[in-house]
Amino acid sequence: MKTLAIKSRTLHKWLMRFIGIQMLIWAVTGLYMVSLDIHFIHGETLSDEKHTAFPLNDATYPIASLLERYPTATDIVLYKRLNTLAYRFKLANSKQWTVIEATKGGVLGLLTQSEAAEIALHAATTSGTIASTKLIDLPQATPAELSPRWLPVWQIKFDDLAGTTFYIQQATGQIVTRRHTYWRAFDWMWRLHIMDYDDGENVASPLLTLLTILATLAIISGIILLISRLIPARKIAVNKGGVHD
Amino acid sequence: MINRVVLSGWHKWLSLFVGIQLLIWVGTGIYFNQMDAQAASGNMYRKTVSHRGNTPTSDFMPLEKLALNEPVVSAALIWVSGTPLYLVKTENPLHNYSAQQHTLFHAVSGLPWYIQPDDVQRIAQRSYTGPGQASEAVLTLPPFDFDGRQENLLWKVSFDDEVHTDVYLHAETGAVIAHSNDDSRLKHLMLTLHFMDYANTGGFNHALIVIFAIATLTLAGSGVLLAYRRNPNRAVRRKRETDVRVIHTGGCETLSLPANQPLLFALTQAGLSVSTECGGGGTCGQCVVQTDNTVAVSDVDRYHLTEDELQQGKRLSCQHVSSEFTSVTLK
Repeated sequence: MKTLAIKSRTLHKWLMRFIGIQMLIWAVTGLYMVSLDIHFIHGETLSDEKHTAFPLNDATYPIASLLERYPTATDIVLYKRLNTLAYRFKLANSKQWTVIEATKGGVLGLLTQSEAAEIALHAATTSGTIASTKLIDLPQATPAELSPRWLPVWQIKFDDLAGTTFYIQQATGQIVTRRHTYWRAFDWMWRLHIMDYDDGENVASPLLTLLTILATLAIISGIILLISRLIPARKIAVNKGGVHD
Repeated sequence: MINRVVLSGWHKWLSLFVGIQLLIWVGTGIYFNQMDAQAASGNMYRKTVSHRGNTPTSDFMPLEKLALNEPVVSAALIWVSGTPLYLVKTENPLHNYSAQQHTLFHAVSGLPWYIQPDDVQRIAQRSYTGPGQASEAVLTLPPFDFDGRQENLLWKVSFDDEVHTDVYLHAETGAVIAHSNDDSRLKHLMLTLHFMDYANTGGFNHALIVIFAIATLTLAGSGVLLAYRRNPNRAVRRKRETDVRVIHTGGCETLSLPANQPLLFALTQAGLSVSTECGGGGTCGQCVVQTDNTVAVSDVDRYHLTEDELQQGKRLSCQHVSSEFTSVTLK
């Protein structure tokens, strides 16, 4: 027991000198991630789209006419885009949405900057005002916090403390992504937690493998030390002629 | 300044509290690091199902004619096993797993439409490429083993294959929500353990894990502090080896010991026995040696030894490096 304790102490000390900082990082990032509500992190409290309800009988342009005009239309949805009742749908060989108004069938163009700002202000729960609006339409210009599949989008930044940012799809007018400082911090916590520092998408890195194996050894040696301290070997030591008198 | 012994006490009791969970965290961490993500998805035998039928679209009833008076948030044209339907939502929860409020109408007749168990079983079979036979579709209440967040009723169709595939389908539309099999159940178990989600909330925002996370942070913090503060005095850093006269029960000898290593470890490596429980952590107070009283008294010595013992030259051998000693007596 005595030599085991000394060996465990040495192993625990040396391993922790190498990985102790990562253990601390796991603890800090883990605590951040579990203690902040994930729905809050996802920005669900940043917007409230209660203004989007409408009576069905306003939709005077029939779906049958839509399909006659656009026979390949799929994913047809009737919804309210800003103040206009509209159909959005996808056409064969196109990843982009087509949007037409649901009363007369006229094609609705892409959102203008002021329309996007209006949608953002309608939905925002923040008391901040809009700090900047920017059109993002190139994959290489997409910020890391937005998936390129939503492009083209309007980026609406508010000047509040939380750095609220909405991404509004230019064709459909839908708020597809909501971000704030707490999400951005969470994203970094996640990267630090899984030790993938470039995009946070790879949990299978060899670095993490190495660290988790070393951590296992360090924790087991720590548990051995704990046991040797909780179950005193005093009597054994006396029998062997221990120093305590 | 927190005393080293106090810090060490905290380290001990916190590790007693979270030690096993630390092993679980790192063990499940290794699983996530090593797992085959494709297999763990549960989609071994899954394929997408096409529902589009060939009902003439000119027969579709206009949405405005549907018998629904309350305001809606969206109305979509969907196909279920070749049948065109209007899916009308009166609420739009942000997640598919949240409780849904919607109604289905036949797109031609405009009448409310309800899925039949046979349709559900057929859709499940069409989403499945494996060798198993399908069970009857059973409408099942949450909670579900594949996702604790799911709040909706789901159909369940089980297949008697080697990985025990279960197919879960949307209660109203029959849309395939998930395939679950032994591999995905293992992943779910690992997530449950990693998130301490024993109540199957499907998430990690609950009091139990927050308490453990705070304790773990305190444990790790105390460990880092100890790593920097437990090091004994290192008076002579340049010397690599130092000669120490050691008197023990077997006689007396002069040993050449590593100068910067705590005496306890140096003696143990030299094959001499010194009593200890904690293995050199400065917490058990057992590794006492008799010195010629030129060795400076440390905080930890003072904690474990009486003033008389210190006066007599007794010190803890784990708290001083070899180069601090010229002569030492072991009992």
